Amino acid sequence: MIKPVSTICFLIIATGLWSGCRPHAQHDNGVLERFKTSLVKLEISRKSYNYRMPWVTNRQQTNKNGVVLAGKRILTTADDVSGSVLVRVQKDGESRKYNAKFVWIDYYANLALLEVEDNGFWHGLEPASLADTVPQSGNLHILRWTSGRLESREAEIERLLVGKSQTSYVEYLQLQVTSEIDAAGWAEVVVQGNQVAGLTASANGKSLKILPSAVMQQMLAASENNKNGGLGYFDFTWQPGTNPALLESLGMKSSDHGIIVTRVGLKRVADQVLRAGDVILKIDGFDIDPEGKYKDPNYGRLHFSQLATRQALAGQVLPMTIWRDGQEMQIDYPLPAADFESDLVPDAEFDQAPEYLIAGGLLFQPLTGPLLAAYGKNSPFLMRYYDYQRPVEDRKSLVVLSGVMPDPFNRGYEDARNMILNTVNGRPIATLQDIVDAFEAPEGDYHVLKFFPDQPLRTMVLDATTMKFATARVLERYRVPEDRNLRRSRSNHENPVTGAMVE
Amino acid sequence: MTFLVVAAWALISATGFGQGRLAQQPERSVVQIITFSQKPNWIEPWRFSGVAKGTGTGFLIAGGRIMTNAHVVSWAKQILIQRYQDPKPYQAEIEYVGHDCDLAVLKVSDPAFYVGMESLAFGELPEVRSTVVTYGYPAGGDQISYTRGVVSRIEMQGYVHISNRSFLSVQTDAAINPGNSGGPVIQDGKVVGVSFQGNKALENTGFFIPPNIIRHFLKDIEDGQYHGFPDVGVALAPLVNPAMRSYLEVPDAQIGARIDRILYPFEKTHEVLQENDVLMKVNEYEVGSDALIQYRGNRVHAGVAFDQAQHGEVVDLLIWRDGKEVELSIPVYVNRVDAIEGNQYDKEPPYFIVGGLVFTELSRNYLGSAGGNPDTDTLYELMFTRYVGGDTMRKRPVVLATILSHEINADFNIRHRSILDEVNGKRIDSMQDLVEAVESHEGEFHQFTFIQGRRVEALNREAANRATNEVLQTYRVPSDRRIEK
Repeated sequence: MIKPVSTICFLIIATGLWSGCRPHAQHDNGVLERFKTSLVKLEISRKSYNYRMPWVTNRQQTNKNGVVLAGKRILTTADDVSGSVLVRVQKDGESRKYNAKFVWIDYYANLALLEVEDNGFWHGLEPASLADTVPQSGNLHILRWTSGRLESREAEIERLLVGKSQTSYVEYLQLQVTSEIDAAGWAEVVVQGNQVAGLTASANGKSLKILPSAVMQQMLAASENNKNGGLGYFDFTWQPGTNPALLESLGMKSSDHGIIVTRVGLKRVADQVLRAGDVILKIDGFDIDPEGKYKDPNYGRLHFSQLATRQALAGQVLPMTIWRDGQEMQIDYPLPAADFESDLVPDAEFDQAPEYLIAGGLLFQPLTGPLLAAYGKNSPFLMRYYDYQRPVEDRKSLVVLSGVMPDPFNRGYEDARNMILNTVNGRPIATLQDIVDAFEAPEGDYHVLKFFPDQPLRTMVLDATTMKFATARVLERYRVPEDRNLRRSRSNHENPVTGAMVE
Repeated sequence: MTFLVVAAWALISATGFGQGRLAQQPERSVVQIITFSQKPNWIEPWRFSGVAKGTGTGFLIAGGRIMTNAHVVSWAKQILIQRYQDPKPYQAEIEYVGHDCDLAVLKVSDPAFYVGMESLAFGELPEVRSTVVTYGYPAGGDQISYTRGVVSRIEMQGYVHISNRSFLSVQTDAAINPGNSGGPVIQDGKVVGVSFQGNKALENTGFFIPPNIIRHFLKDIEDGQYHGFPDVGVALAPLVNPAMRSYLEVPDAQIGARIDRILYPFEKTHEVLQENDVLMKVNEYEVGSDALIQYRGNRVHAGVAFDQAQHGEVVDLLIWRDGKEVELSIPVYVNRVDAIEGNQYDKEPPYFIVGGLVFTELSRNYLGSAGGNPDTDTLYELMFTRYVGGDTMRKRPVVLATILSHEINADFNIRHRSILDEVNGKRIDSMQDLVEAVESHEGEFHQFTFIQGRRVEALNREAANRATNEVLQTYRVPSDRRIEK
């Protein structure tokens, strides 16, 4: 997704060099007036991290948009709000900025709510009304504050699709539109008639993905009910059942519907109710066609993954009809909640500084999506391989020796990097804390590190008696403030990703 | 990528001349080799490319043999040789070819070819900073060309023809260009190398194959068969870290490199050696803590010491294990397990067609033809499983090369380049396994499981048999298979 920082657009406008972002002059002023009192502009100062140097904190600013809801709240997307330290909000094109606070962020859904304490801010603002259904035809407008004026752009509906959330692997119904608007994707407000149809979630050229109001309402309701809290997710992979011989080979007589489950539990969030080789015939009463589509009563043919969020939430049970061992049977699929932290290699981390441990100049880090992303296109193949699918049954996560800060202590290992750790002093390593613990029990005067057998190096030995001096020396020489940032073990960890109150 | 460098030595050193069997006019023994070659198509292995013409250089050596590079004559259907300033082309045949060391020897049946030609003798590894001259027929003209340069350095280099082997190689600043390949590099009237490759990323660098590699090749073929360079199958790591040295109780001198791991299969090596053995000596060569040895004045990788052994010969090792020295002997064998990881030549790829699904062996050649970037599973299968061994490692993984469209496979959901895991419940380690699993099956359906995404597909067995015949006719495929026995 290409999402140029919106400040570029502001700059250009301010210097008057380019009119591309200006509102359409001829546009119906009624629409603008109606929403002027409900749209706000957000300026979020936040911490961001360099996973290649995890002790460094950078400062970033994100400019986004929001819409006023009943109950003096502002709704926006969760994209790029992680690590926020200061949120400023502006209304009605005024230059005055008020302080705002996130009160709820759901990174799975890609949605967040803010509050503003200063009552003066709310004066003159009115809650917008969120549409109950996803529009399938007609004209939409995309609105945002630009240089004190409300900019409005027409948008044309391309299609409805079931796609991944911008901030997670959870899939739900989205609207794809085309529009001339520039540098969008930052929760610009999409309206139809008197209602908010959605918020923009991403933009790629002229094509934008919209998080529809109907879906947002469902997410908000779930958060208010404070049930399991999250959106559901089908934790299995599948293939189409289009080849009749395949279904017949599994003993099925008719081959007009059904998809085949190929792997289960890759994200490690599901009860293993389904098995590889099961043919799914129905989910929640809907027939699943051989290409994995069902007929939605409101929106027509949609991908079956929509059924995980359509009317269900994590924790609920979805009835499924499957074909297994030569017969049709009914099963109850407990819809799992998405959870980054149960994954072997978590896709994302939010609102927390990266974990690391430096010992004798060796830098250890958990293998995570953001670490891989920090390498860009040059991410090490074996790390990608483990992220992609390598089954490692005996541990919940992986730790990488990501690099070495040269010191006499680690002489000869200067080039070691990007290797997945197997054991330290004979103990299997899944977390940084495991390393810390293993260092408490050296083999004689030595720490013996073993890497996974497919890694470039198998064994590394360090001097256990002098390591702490070396660590101190390295921290001093390379100006690293702390030797570690460890979090509590995952299982004790309050899920920070959904429903978190941000301090 | 591989282009060959012909280095001609201008013999200036007065002392070197006229002694022993020195060629007075080496150019008379240097020939141009013109090949017409045809490569198979790895995706549809019954098809072949158009005929391509190529040229290289060769030179006469003892025994009436023309020595050249393997890459000059790979896939050749016809080889013609043009003598120095002689208009008549002579037809030649390959006698032996070593794709690992990029050397080949040819024979010409017409006795007239040898008239007036003197075979060139081999010298020793030239010294760094000494001058050499390349002889050859590089692109840019038709006549023989000479270039002179100094020996810049001598060390282990990747041999790009096979791509996954490294041997000793000599770098020179003599110009080496396409067409030079296979030409002699001469010093003091003797051949001290065979020009074979360049590196486009570097300036004024050409590489030639040194005499020890050439002699190894010639000795290998003495028994009438080329085996190749044996491989001991260990990964050496420098032993520099003081804690690691003291952990292994190695005396604190700059001697000894650590065996970090033993690759698979290498059964004999697994019997004799252990991880964390410290390699102190290979035959008479002392191994430094940097995993290098001193070889004729050059510091080169310890592998060079192993490369002196022939297939099946024994190498003597001095190992440091459990705080003391141990003398061991280890037989070394040619390793063909990783052949799929390198370029393969002169062997038409195997294939097997069932119901329009075309299966072949996973190989670097296949992936090169298929284009694009291979997926993660495929790369892992090709490059990393031999580090892990056991069940993870398949001897010869089988890949779905392509699908010949037919109604029987029209609804398949498998992409080409997918690797077979099982067929009809049997694990597939080779093309033979595949044929066996398909032909011995008596059920109503063939079921194929692939590694990628654990996807499954099925064919009705009888319908597949009929479809195979139809597909062969439609696409003019001469046979449903080419399988090595």
